[in-house]
Amino acid sequence: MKRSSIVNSVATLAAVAMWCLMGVPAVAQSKKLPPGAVNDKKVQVGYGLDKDQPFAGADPDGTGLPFKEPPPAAVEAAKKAPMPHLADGHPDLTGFWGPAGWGYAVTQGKLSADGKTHFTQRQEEGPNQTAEKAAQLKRRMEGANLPPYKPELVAKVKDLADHQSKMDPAFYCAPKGFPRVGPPTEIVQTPKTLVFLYDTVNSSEQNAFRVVSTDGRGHDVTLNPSFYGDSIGHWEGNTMVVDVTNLIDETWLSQNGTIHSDAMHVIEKLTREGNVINWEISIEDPKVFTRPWVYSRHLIHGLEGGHALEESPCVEHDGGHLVNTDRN
Amino acid sequence: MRKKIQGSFWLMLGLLLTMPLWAHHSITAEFDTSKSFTVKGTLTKIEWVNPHAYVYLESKDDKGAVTAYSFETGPPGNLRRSGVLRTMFSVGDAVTIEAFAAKDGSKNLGLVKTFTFADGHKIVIGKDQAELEKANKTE
Repeated sequence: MKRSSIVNSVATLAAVAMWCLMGVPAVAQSKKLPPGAVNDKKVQVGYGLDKDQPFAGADPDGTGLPFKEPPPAAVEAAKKAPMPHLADGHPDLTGFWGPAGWGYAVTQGKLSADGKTHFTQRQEEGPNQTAEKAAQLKRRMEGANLPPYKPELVAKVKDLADHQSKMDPAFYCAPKGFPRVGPPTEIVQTPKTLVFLYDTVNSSEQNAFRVVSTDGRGHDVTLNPSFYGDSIGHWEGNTMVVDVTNLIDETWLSQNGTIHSDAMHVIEKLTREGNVINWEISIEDPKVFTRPWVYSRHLIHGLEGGHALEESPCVEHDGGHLVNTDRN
Repeated sequence: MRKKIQGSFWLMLGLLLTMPLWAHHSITAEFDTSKSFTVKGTLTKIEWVNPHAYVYLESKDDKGAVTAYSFETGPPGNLRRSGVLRTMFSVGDAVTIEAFAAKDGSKNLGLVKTFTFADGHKIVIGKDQAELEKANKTE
C-alpha cells in the first residue's frame, strides 16, 4: 500500500513535470501577430495629451509644452455629463483621463491592400524634417505663455534648447520628473490618498506615479529631494489643490531647455466638472522666474475600463552616434 | 527640362514625406537618409525600449563569417500607434533589413526602412513610397 502510494506520487510528479515541459514553451511562445493585427482593435481615439509627438497637438496659450488641448466643443460637451462623488461628498477623480484610448489606439499606420505590407505612417500624415517643422520649432520658442525667466537666464535657456538633442536629461533616460511628466493618465482616489499614474510608453519615465496624501498631514521635511517631489493635497470646493515641494533641480520643465532651481514650488489644481478635469499648474521659482509660470489643460474622461499604462524601460543607445544638434 | 526639375522636386518631397515621426533626437543627427544598405540575416535580440526600440541581427557571408548588426526603429509608443508590436518579431526570424546608414561611419548600425520576413510580409517604417510616386506621376 505504502509502496503503491509512493509510485503514485512519483507518477504524478512525473506527469506534472511532463506537463510543465510541454506546457511552458507553448505558453512562452505566444501566437505571433501578423501585420495589421491591431488595426481593428476597438479603442476610442480621443484628444490625446500628446506627450511624445510634440507638434501634433494644439498649444492654445503658447506654452511650448507638448500637452495637447482638446477642442473647446469636446470639452463643453463632456462637461455636461453627471459628476460622480465619493461618500465623503468630494468629486471622484478616479478614472482614465485625457488620452482616451490614445495609449493603445492605432492612430497612424496603414496596411497594404494585399495585407502583406504594413506601413507605420499613413500617406496623409505630415512630413518631419521640413519647413513646417522648422516653423513649429520656432513657434515652440516664441509662444505667448513661455516660462518667465529672469533676463540673465534667457540666453542660457535658449542655448540649452538649441542643443536639446545633447543636453536634455530625458534624452539620456533620466525621468522627466514633475511637472514635465504632464497631467496624470489615470487617477485612483480614496478618502485619504490620491494616486496619479502616468502613461510612460513613449517617455524616459519608467512606471511613473505620485502618491498625494489628502489626510491633512503636512510636508515631510525628512524626505530626500526627488524627481516627483513631496505632494500633499486638500479640497477647496470641487478643486483638489496639491502642493508639491522638495523637487531636485536636475529636471527640465519642458523640452525647451527650461531649467529650474531647488527652490521650485508647484501648485497643481484639479477641478472636475462633469467628465472634464481642468488641470492647472502654477510653478513658483524665485531664483529663476520673475513671476509664477501658470498653464492649464483640459482632461476628458476616457473609456470606461480604459487603461493607458504600458511599461517601457528606457535604454539609451544613440547619444554616442549623434553628429549634429538637429532636433525634433 | 521643366518636367525634369519637377520630377526631382517630387522625388525630394517624397523622400521627406517617408521619414518617420521621431520623438527623441532628429533622424538627421544620427543617420544619412541619402545612404541605405541591405542586410539579410537572423534576428538575435529584440529590445522594445525607449527612446527607440532596437533589433539585433546576425548575418553570415558565403564563407560562414558572422557579422552582428544593430538597427534602430521607432519609439515603442509610436510603433504601437502605428500598429507595430513587439510580438510581430521573434528571435530566430529570418529577415532582410533595408536601413539608412549611420553618419558617424559605424558600419554595423542602421535605421530601419523596411523589414522583409521569410514569408514575404513587410513592415515599413514610413509611408508607402510606391503609392507616393504613383500619385506624383498622375499630377
